[in-house]
Amino acid sequence: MKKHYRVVIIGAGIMGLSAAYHLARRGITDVLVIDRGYLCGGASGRNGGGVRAQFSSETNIRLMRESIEICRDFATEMKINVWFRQGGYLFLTRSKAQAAQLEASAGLQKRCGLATRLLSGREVQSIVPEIDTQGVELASFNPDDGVVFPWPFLWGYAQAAEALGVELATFTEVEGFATDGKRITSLALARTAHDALAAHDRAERTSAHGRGPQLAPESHTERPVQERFSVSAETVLCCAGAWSPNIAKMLDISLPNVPHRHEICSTEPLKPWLGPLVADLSNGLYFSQSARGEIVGGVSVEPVPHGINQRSSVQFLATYAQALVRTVPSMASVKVLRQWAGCYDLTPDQSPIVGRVDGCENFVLACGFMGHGFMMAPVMGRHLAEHIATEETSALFAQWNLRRFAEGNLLKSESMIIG
Amino acid sequence: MPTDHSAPGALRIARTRGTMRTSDDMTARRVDHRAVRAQHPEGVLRAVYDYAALDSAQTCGIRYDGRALDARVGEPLALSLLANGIDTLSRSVKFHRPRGPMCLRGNCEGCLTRVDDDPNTMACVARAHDGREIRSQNAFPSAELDVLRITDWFFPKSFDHHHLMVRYGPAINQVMQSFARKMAGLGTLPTRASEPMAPLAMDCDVLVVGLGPAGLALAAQCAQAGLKVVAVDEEPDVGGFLRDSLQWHTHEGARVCAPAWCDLQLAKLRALGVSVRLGAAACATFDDGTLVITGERALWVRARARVFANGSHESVGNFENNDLPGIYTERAVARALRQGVRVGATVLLTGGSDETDALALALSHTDATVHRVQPGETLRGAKGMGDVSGAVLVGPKGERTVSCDAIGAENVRTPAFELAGQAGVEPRASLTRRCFVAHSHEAGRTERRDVFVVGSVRSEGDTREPDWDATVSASVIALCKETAAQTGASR
Amino acid sequence: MSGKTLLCRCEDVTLDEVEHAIAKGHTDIESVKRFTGFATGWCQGKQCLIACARVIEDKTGAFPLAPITPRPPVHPMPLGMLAGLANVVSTERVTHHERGAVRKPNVGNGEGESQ
Repeated sequence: MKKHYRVVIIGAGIMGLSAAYHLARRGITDVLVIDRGYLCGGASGRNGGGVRAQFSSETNIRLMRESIEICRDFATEMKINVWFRQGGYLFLTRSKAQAAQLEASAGLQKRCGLATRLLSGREVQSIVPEIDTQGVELASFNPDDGVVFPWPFLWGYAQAAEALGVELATFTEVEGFATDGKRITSLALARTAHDALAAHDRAERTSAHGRGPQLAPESHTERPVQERFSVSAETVLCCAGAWSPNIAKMLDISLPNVPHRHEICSTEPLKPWLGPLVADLSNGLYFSQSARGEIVGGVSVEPVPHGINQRSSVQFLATYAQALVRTVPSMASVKVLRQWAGCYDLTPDQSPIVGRVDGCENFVLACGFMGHGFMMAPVMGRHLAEHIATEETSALFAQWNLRRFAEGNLLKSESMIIG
Repeated sequence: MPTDHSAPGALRIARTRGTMRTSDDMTARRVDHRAVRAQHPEGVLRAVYDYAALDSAQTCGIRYDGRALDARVGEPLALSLLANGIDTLSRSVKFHRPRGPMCLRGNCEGCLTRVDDDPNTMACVARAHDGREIRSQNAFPSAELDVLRITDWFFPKSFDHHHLMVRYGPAINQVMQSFARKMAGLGTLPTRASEPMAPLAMDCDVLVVGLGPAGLALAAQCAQAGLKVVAVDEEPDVGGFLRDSLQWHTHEGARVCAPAWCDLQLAKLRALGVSVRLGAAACATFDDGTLVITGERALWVRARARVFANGSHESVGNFENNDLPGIYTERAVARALRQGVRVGATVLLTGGSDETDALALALSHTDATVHRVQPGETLRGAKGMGDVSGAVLVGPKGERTVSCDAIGAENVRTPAFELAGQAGVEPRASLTRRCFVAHSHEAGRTERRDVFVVGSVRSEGDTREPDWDATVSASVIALCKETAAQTGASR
Repeated sequence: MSGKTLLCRCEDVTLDEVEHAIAKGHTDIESVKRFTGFATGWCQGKQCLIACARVIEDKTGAFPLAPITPRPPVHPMPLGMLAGLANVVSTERVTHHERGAVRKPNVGNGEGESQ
């Protein structure tokens, strides 16, 4: 490892790796990507793999149209299968108000060139006959949306970036920054043993908020640090997802985004029967069939306190099973094989926080993606690389900058958020 | 339908590969315990098989892939099928290699079939009754003969799905992906909506998970102290590994066979007022409770103290073709035999324990030919295109091949740390045993005050010491009394 | 003889595949799990976890200090049995007194049920 890099990227999730790959493609190969765990340990390895352009804001729609194109070509471009399958996204609404909103969004999507169409309950059954459509007010369907197997995206980006000269250091954590008041001068890093309990999993194995006396304080071994060292960088890009506020805090920067646990479960693998990803806007239920045949999905659970927590809960299991069996009654004897949790990275106006930070001129953020970070990363990586390479601020980056919160210019919220 | 025992040797029939066994061979799979007992008038085998008392078992009719078969009422379907000479029930997900029962205790995927309308049902757990309809899965056209087996031969070492057809352009990649989707999955969506009973919440002082020797002892101690105890085990009987043991045990000074000992402990628990749930699998533990699934409903159990005594997983270990139908854990062979089914006519046993000796003797009384490994020999691999037809053993004198139609492989036992782990007990490596254990302190205590681990699930320690159960139960009882004092009345 | 040695029967992961993943640099057990797919099938690792951990030790010289994260459930659970759970689990821990009042229809003490 070198002492100095042109760019250091914190977080080797899909966002950081996509940015690193696109930087290298532009000729900036003097890049170090660090992650405190293994690849796929964070939200990039824990999401449901949905990729869609059906959103309610034009920015999201246009970005995701582009991202879908990238996903379609990813396997042959990057030489690793990601099992992208365009089975469409089928959104269900169960109230007049939500139906009106869906109709407006579908109109905007059509104007942006999507093939979205509105469906009645009966028409829903022509796409998924197994769905009980009782109570469904209106649905929308875009056949170009789809699902992927998330993990190979990371391996694909990592391998391609490394082949171009990017360095990747997993099991390497940021412990602090040195600054000269205006900019970061160096990062203090710690490399830990990779056969001990991985950092991401500590959050999964420890009880939420300690839970008082149940958990003795000496529990859970700390990971042994093998080596401490520092590196300097011209630009530091933070792609740490739900951990971004913690990173920024080391620089005395307060971010408005908060981690929020979302849980997913996966069933036994079945022969293909479900084409689209089905999403119910009334309760946040969503489910799709993976490349291996499992039904993978989640649901909104209230209340879940903000904070890093990757423990599984019975409340989720109960809510999800109830919502899914109501929607597809024949799934009642289908069995759950695995349940897990990851963290959404929520912002007050449901839009990401991207670009340079006022007051720390070489610190660039890419966080607050509201649980859509994975699907946006293929296109956002390119924009981030362009932003860092050219030092120009596009309209998108101006719109999504952190300063909007200080200035009170919050964006119009995105209504099509699930899970 | 126990058969009359014909002349010894008359039923030894070489098995044909890839086809159904002959009817004589099918008959040979059913063991007449009376014959075993007759040959072993005084020994423990007589006691075990007297205790199994299968002579009066009722028969029923089931169907497998449309074929009518006889079965014994209440026996695991996997045994009904084995008794009828059927050991290949599905094909594996990628290679389409044949799959059959392996553990016979609900821990592996070998016996997954569609039972009535339910896909992916473990045939070693589901029970036989009149009219049950079983279908093989993931096989074209049948589990015995599957044309997609070519996948196994096309990829002789492994199947690199990450890089499959990524170099031939998007069009070909797309064709591969659509084909892969069609091939994916095991079983098909049920056609009807099942309506199980509503979940039941249970509150108690102590939940004991696993009723092997450790769990039985602990549940009894806690109940004797006046605590309200709920005890669950995923098996239909108590005893854990002792249920399949072919050894003597002592109960109140009297010599009894292992399965009888287990049931005496069960009777004791019930007499003490312990709420015992059998066939009830603790599936998941959360901060606030434990989810137990029975054959009919979910139980949500909240306890002041949770004790995990859920023992070990078992597998057959790593050797070539270790997944072929006809390869069982040694315990599965014993379990099938106790329930009146001989897994093969020529059986290789690779273990070297007292249990292996007893099992070899019992099998030989059923007219099976039994092969044993010689000192220093290890199992290098199994042979067979469909199910097992032989084994290769390597020893100090070189390699030798043994013909056999079943292998009972030495149990590879590893602690089942997962449930305690979900409850917050850190699993740690045991470098000497090369496995992971639920990490515990003295007297079964863990870093979670309300969680205890006992028996083989935990790190090595106090279960081998005298009165270990009294030491653990003392700390469980103390915790329950303390929390009861804090929150008021006992549950 | 030449045949496959299956480390993970549920997902058809061979010894060769695990060795290949380790050679590619996936040396920690969570990465090997993700790259090969072992422990992600029906048994969720009951059979294969130890087999793979021992191969990692053979190839890297170190037995993993911790296993893959044990995630619920340990045994597959039918969705239909879980669908009614919302009525018996609550997000807050309630007192003993409240619990009896709230959940009367579904609360059993475990006695008198079929064993």
